Amino acid sequence: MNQTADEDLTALLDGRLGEPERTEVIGRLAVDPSLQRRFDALVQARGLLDAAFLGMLADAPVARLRAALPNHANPRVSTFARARLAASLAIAAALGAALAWFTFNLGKPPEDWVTAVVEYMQLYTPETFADVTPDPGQEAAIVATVGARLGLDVAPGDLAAPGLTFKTALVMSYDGAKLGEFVFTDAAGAPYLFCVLADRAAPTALRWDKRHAFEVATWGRRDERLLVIGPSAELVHNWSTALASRL
Amino acid sequence: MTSDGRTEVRNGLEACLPRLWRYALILTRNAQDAEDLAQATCLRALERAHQFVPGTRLDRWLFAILRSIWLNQVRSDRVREGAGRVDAEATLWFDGSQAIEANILAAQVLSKLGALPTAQRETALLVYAEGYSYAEAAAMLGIPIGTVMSRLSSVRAALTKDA
Repeated sequence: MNQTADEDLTALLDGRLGEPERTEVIGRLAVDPSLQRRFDALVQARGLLDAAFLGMLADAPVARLRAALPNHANPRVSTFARARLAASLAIAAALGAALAWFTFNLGKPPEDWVTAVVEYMQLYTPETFADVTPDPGQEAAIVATVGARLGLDVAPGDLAAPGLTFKTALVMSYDGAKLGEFVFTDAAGAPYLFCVLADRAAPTALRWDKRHAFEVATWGRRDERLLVIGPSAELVHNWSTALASRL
Repeated sequence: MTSDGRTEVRNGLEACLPRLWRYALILTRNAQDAEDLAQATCLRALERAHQFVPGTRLDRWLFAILRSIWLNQVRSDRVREGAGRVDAEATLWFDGSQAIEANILAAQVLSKLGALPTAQRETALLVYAEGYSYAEAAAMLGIPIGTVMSRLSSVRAALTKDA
């Protein structure tokens, strides 16, 4: 693996690789196990970076910095700030356990966000989230933090589904809109995603489609578009039905 | 419009403090220097708040100020110390970090990150933590997009070594 190929893989992961290089690299990934391993390692590096950067925020001396500002002579750290600090630490710990992090928008933005999610699902493997094992406290902190960023009032119990284990949650960007991804895996390690795109649109009823090897459930509310994707049609059907009624 | 700019800076500054400190830490690799740099940035921003264009990104305006102050500091240090700033402060990198206590792996990542060249750390922070596009990072840093790609690739590769 030479440096140029690493740059291509990095640009692919960052959604910045243009055509035709993007198609070529994805094609090579499908037939070259060593390249796929390299790709997986670079994906893991992004998760480690995210954890490191998040951890730094938790260490920021906010109270002292605030105190140094003019007209802020008597600062105090709010309960909210403490809660955010705790959540950040929990997330840093969870992410630090070598989670794989994916960016959306491979190359040029796909025609619709469902296509983008499906494209990325094809890159996940059972190993991707194998080492991510948040405890219940970390799960609650991650779900609460990501939910808040999405404007979604959600707790772990709202997302739970029989046969699925929570792994992590992330906030990404799709075409300028916040895209939340709650990652679960089944007993075999196969990833299942519950995705939320912050986007004002007309509410739409739950519907199911087959995309490649995945069952995809989509529905819409006034402020969000929602999606569940995974390999088992039964699991996706049950989970999306439960989510649509709970949230 | 200038009074609106002042209001926006004053109202938005506090929310940016953790991220300003993080950016400063990435540049200085020293918690105390980072605090000093973040404070200097805040004071400079308040002094120049009338220059801020309301409705534009306050965080990025602040980052540009922070970077400018840091670059001037580095230049003056080089003049004063001759060969450039001694890197002994690397040993203070994230000293006492709660993240380190919480996670051994995080400590290893921070160690690897701290050993990288400043330019690579800074580029990774801007793109991965702050959401700059390649083009935006290139413009901020005054480098070609290809260099941004190269730096990000190097950072990822460095973190995968012995992982």
